[in-house]
Amino acid sequence: MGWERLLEVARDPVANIRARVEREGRPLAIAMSSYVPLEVLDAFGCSAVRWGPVCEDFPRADGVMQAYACSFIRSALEMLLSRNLPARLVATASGCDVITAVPGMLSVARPDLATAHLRLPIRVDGAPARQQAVRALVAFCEEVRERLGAPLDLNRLDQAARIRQEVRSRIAACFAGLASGTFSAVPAYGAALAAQSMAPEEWLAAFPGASALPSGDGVPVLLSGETVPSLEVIEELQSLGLRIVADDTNTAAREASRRVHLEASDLVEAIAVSLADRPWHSPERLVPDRPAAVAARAREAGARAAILLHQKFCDPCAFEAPGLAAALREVGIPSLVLELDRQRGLTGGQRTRVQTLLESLP
Amino acid sequence: MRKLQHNAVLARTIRNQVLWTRLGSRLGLPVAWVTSGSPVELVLAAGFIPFYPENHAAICAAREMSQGLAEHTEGRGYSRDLCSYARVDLGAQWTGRTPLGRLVPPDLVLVSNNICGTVQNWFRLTAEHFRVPMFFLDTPFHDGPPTDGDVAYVREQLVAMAPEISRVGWRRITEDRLRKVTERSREALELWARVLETASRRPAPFTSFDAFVHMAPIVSMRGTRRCVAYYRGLLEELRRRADRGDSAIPEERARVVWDNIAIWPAHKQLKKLFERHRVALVSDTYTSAWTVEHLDPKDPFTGLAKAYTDILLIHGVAHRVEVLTRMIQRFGAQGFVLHSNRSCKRYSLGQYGVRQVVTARTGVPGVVIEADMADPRAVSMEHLEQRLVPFFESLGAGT
Repeated sequence: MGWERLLEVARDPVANIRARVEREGRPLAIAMSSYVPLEVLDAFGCSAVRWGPVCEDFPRADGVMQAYACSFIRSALEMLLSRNLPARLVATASGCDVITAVPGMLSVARPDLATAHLRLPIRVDGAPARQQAVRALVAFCEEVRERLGAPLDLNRLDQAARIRQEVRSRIAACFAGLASGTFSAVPAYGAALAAQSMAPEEWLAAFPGASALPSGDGVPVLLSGETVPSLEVIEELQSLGLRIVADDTNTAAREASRRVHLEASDLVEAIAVSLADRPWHSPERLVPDRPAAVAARAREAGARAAILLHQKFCDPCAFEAPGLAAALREVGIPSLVLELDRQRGLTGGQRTRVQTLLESLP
Repeated sequence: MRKLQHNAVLARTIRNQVLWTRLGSRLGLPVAWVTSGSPVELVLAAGFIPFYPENHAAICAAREMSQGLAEHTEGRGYSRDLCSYARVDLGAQWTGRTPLGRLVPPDLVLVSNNICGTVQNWFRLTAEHFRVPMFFLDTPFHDGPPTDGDVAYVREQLVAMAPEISRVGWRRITEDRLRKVTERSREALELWARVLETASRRPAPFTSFDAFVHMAPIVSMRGTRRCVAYYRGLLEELRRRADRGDSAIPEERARVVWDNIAIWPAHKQLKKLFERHRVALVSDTYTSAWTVEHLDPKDPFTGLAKAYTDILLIHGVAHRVEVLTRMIQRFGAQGFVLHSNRSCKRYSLGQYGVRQVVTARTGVPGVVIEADMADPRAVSMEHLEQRLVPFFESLGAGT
């Protein structure tokens, strides 16, 4: 139990998902976006997980999708096409063009697999966007109900929303502890990665609290990016002399920042609004001041440099990178883009670039 | 094989449009930079002159300027994996280099994500560069027809942005003005659909290689009288050609349809390759991407909301399969070519499955070719020939 268990799951999420499905005996639902609310899939009686790990080869995925899509999606497709995971439902959400294409591809390559697409708005400003988010989530629930032949259990939704929120709050607390030095990156990211595939009840039982494992020495940095592909990346960054003090990744702080108004009379509506109103959005949403906000967070956390961890072929990241680097530069924080492609850790060249960044710091 | 007389009219029309944009801007008319899937009718009703950066990027590619412009953008930290239209156009903005002489700066930009997610980033950078407001129309992706909720969401945004656009423009958008512009758009789109339809005749008097070029007015001038007049003239000429039995391809031996944007850096070579093998490219998903049925001058806002929530790229694989299947049947095609366009993920991802299903439904074979719409570094004529020539031969066509 405790950290050992969380880190074990974080290191091998696929094995954990398989064991969990066997143990729970429920249909496996895989969410392929941080904007798919797992509590809703829980309430349909699924074992709900969020996809994160990356494979190194895609022999099957390459047969259904061109190579100029990110390895995050190609890995998920590879896993689904190889039937390494007994998935019953794949849930996607609007955002990038690649994720949006997934249900269509699966409808041909794995017609036995149910898919549901959450058509969230891209703009996140104001009432129309919130209303559209509500309509989208209601339609998504209807789609899941049809595909699985199971109803949305509102009692279970209430429980699931509470427990998932508790998980997110604790993850957010871990990452808040990075800046104050009460927490270090490996357990924090381990907890976030484990939460993607563990049952939330099991995660809460395993989570030992936010006071353990204080951080060591190192140059304080911000880590930004989409999915953290593995714990190895974090360990490598630490071993190179970095100390992550602020996070802006989908795996961790962005997703964990979402808050549902649990006392709302209509919980589905409240969940939808929480998606539109997520404090820390990803770059695929239209949030013009995002780079400045990220830079402000980095500065507040005392970061002296920033690592922008990007998946190759991720368009929203690639468009954002120069602007984000400029915003960071404006507050005196130099940054480095590390582009990951079909790899769990850093390449030799990337490690050298990190070292060069560190040596160039005043 | 006679050249279309309208090629000269097209050149004149585009030249005049460029001159009009410059002159109008000097006279104080506002200019709006818009995406091809934007509800241009709104800015026209407010008195703007629209300018289409996508068209501009295509022109840059056809004039062999795209590589240098894209490299400039890459030099500013933007990945080579990003859309080449965006890289080329941003490069033109930042360097001032353009085949049009000079770019007329916008007073606003109008963007809709109904064609892809790239445009919101590309046009945000444009708006930041020129320090002008950006209007963003968020359109939900779907595989079936748009739902009432989707239409309501889009309509609400259109209604909300109309007074804001009016404020930047030189006249207020009224329902009456919008109705007139919408009516012209509808008429032009109908004429364009009939133009494309002429290729169903045997032999085809017109191919998609012609359509790729003659689509310029429907992209950049729809909603205007000039656009309507242009397509009336083109349609008349094509009907005459069809009645005479004039063929776009000498001794047409096979007919195929195309999916995706044209390969501008190899446009002429590809056209020659098809001609050499007597293959007529009779239809494509690119030039017929707009829908005409929803535009409703009686209720322009709802009509625009429906129309711009129902264009080709807002739909997924199932819709593309339907469209290609219909085209193959309607135009009597013996094959189809899927351009896997490295620059356009929205258009390209899913094509492998599309090929499989369309072939299963129609019995007609398809081939995927890898290229790019504007970046010559990602286009290899040798590769295209290696893929296309055996495919043409399998259709019974050859030199």
